[in-house]
Amino acid sequence: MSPLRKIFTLKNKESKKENSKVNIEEDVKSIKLTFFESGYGSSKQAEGDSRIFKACLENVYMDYKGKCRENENLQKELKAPYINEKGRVETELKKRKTALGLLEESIINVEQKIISLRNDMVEVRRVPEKFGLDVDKKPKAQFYLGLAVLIPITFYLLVFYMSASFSAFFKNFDTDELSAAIFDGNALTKAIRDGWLEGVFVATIPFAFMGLGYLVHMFLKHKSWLSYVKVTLLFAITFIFDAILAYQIENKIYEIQKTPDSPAFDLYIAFSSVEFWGIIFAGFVVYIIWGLVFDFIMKEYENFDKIKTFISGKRDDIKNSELNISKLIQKINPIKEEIVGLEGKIVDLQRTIDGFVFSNKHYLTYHAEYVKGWFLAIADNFDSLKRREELLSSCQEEELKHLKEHDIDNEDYEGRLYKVVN
Amino acid sequence: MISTELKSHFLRLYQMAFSDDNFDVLEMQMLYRFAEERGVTKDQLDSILLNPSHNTSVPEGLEEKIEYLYDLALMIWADNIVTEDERITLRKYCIKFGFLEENIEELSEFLLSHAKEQLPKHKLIELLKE
Repeated sequence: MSPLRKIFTLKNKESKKENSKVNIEEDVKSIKLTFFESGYGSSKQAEGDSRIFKACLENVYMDYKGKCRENENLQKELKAPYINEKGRVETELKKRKTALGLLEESIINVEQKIISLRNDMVEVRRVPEKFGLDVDKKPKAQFYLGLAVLIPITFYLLVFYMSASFSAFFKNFDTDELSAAIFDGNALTKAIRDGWLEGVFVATIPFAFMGLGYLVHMFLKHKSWLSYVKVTLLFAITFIFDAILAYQIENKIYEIQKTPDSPAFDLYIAFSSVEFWGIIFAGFVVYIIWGLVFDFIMKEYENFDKIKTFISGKRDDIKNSELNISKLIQKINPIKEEIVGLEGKIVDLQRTIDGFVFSNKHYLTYHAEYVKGWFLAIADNFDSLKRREELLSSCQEEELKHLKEHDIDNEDYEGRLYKVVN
Repeated sequence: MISTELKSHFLRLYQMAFSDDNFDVLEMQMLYRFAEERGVTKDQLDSILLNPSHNTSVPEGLEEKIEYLYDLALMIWADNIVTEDERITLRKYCIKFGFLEENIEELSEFLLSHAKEQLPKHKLIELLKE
């Protein structure tokens, strides 16, 4: 066999077992004989006296107990099931400890995750770029400033377009009203007085402009050439609409002020009129400003909305992680209980292993031999049948008493454990 | 279905990784690599390690015994440090696998020396057949 192969030789369990079995059988035979002889000899000397028999049995029992304790091989054999059981329990314990280690490690990982999530929640306000959020650091201040500007401009637009559209579409100009041609403070009340439809028309037309401003913001959300085209078109439409309003107002003013030799009102006259441009600027330019401010504050709002969404997302993650931890803890508790149970079992088994095992079965074999020797001596040495019977029955009584006393009258009982008591 | 034998193997590997009381990342990676080699997914391995309520068993065949022990030796070298605890654990497993006690020292050293060189498993088996 090559040296390498030799290293990898496996134990030959069978033959070893056979050998030890043969040895044990031989041992048992010789011991049995000794006990028989000892019983016979003592009985002969004591003339089968039951009191002496009792003492002898006690002596045999104590003697066997001592031998049993000292006999390492026997103890090894008797303790083998306990040692095996201890090994098995230890393996079980190791497995539980492994699982516990893994679970505890997962808990630590989840806890660390929660800590980092909490840090992220704090840090996202300070360094939003770190988390891929493209936002201003002070979105709130800018948002409220923008809002403070937007609200008055909105009122301005409401008033301006109500008045301008009323002037353009419904107003009958008299000479004394020319000073209020563009701006009419009573536009809404006048319109309502003329009919509720007129009132609704005048009251709602500014919202058409604001709707256009809202569309500008929506189109600018996705910055592509198409959205720029759309925004340009929107501005152009609003400009044309404004220009029509201005043209109509200007036309009405011209009609009243014209002399018989004045030329007919046309675009050229409109474009060269100061009022015309006044209307355009007071309306369209302010409308553009409104649109831009609106776009700006919407963006700011989304900015702190982004942070809010980010934080609420992290909060959800934390909740989930905490749920995970409680699940892991639920798993850990039974494992911990099992570990305690197994450790207790190991301590108990170790006590048995450290102590010694008294084998009833073995003892009974030798005890029977001794009793056989004693009884045989009585039978051999007493001719009188009566005396023999007397002795035998009293000795038998003593034997039964002895077995009961030591709790070995029950043959189902395999072995008694003498544990080391701390 | 993963056999009890294989489950036991992974538990032994895990115990080996833990025997120096310091579960190195490299050891963890190696554990998952071994699992991959034997067609065991990460989730399956986790469930093996987390549900230890099955009996352990030792492989029957000589080659399998050597392969499993060699895995343990490779695991010992995963963090490039061989502690006394790890040596003892390996010897213990060699005995448990049924090798002769007088050869244990030599056997564990043989496995460790080849594991250090990272000799592939099939080459180790070939060495034995020579």
